[in-house]
Amino acid sequence: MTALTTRVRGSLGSRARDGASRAVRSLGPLGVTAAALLVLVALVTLLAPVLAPYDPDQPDLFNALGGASAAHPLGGDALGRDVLSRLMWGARTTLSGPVLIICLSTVVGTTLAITAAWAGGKVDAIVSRLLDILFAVPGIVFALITVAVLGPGITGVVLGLAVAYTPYVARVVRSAALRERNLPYVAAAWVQGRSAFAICVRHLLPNLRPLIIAQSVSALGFAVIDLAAISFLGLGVQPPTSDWGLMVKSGLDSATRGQPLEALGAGLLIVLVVAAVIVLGDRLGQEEGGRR
Amino acid sequence: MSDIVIEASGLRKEFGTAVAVDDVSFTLHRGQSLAVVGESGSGKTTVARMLIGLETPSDGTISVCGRPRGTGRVSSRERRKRAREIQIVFQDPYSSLDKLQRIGDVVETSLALHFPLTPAERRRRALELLEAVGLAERHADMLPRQLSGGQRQRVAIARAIAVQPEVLVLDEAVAALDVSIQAQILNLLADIRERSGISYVFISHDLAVVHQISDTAIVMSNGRIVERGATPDLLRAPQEEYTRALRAAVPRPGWKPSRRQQA
Repeated sequence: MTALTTRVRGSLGSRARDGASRAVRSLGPLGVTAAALLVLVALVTLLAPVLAPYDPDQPDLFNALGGASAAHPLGGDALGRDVLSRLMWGARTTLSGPVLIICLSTVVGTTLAITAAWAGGKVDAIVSRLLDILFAVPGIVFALITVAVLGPGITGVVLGLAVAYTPYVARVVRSAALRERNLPYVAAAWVQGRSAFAICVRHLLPNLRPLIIAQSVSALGFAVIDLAAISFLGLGVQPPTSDWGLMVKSGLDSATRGQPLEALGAGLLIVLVVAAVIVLGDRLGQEEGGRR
Repeated sequence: MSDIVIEASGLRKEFGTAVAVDDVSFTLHRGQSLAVVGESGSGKTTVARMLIGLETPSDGTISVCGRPRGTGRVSSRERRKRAREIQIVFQDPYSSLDKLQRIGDVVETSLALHFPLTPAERRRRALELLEAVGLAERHADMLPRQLSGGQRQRVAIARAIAVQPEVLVLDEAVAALDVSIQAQILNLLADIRERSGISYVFISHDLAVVHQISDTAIVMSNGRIVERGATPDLLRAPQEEYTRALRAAVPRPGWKPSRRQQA
């Protein structure tokens, strides 16, 4: 049907608008809510320097463990730093880490997957077994290993989790790439004399792109949880940098002393963002499934 | 002056313990059209895949345009050279085009691989080729899903003849199309052969179709050739039981389905 309704020679603008309205329809109300929430979070994250009412790292003893007030809507933490400002700035570390993890694992995973699917035989067997082994090790364990080698901090954790998340992307992409690779149009391109690299990059990759995006977005949700958990354990982001995982931890102490807003705010944000990312990934995955 | 474009002798292909093709030999002359006939599983598609180099024979030799096909790895330069000798059109018009690639780009890509043309020349040549297979300029900007099965098969033919091959293998190329579209595509193929002197290897299970397009035919059953000869003779007076059975399976005007006995 879309074939008949889409105007072929429409202007670029109308094509983009068609694409946007189609996206809204296929995401559904829940998907659109999730996407809107993520856009809002992304905006606040980017504009933290402008929006945050206070310096997130500036202690203020008069505000220590302070409750909600007009000056400090979410009160202060144990050192009197403004919780709202720390949440805004904290979004940067909390979210940039997982985005980096997923970018790395998507690039590595997709490359491995397409190479394995194209080459087949021994290469495929070796890559597949390697992915199985990686898949068997929990992400947190990987992060612990890299932290043990590189010392606590964001770099080690990101590298460890990037390795751990590679099979999430690679396994699904490999099986789809295998299916795509066996279609006659690929054989036709090969018989025409196109190089393997050109076929993989010009044909396989664009056709797999929706699946890769859906899979990466789902994995992003889990990466947020893992990274926050590792920071909570004290191995990831180090104080005094603001980070939601760290704030849940320090907020627990404050909560026992009568200021629950820090832990609640950070915890609630983690839950909301993760839920939104997973809903979005799920919808993108469904759309991809429907296209096949 | 050799005008033999394909010489296959003693072709054999095993998949594990199964023998798909056994002792198949034939020659194809320039400008000729050879039909390979048989039911599903008779090994005819495997023969096609060996001819274009998608499978390597377990035994036997193939030479195309006088150049023997080896079994080792092939450089990309050699692959492009082979591409200009032999091309293929597949059965399924839906999956034989990349669903994201516009029709004009399909043809332009194959031109770009083989001929040093400027983008403008390439575009013009692509439009000529589309016109030659009965498509219009407006089709060039369309995606495969906007075309019918017959139109897609025309695109696949344009893509194949763009490189000006000596031989075109048609692997059940009209089997997925309805009868009136089949006739159009067969006419198109006949026109192309008349104009360019290209040779066809026409793989089919459909004797009516084979009758229209081919000069000679070989009949395959269980991976072996059971009968060969000029197509009209073969269809008029088949010598082999198997060929007779194949011919008898074609419905004719006045054909009445016999009522099955209730068991």
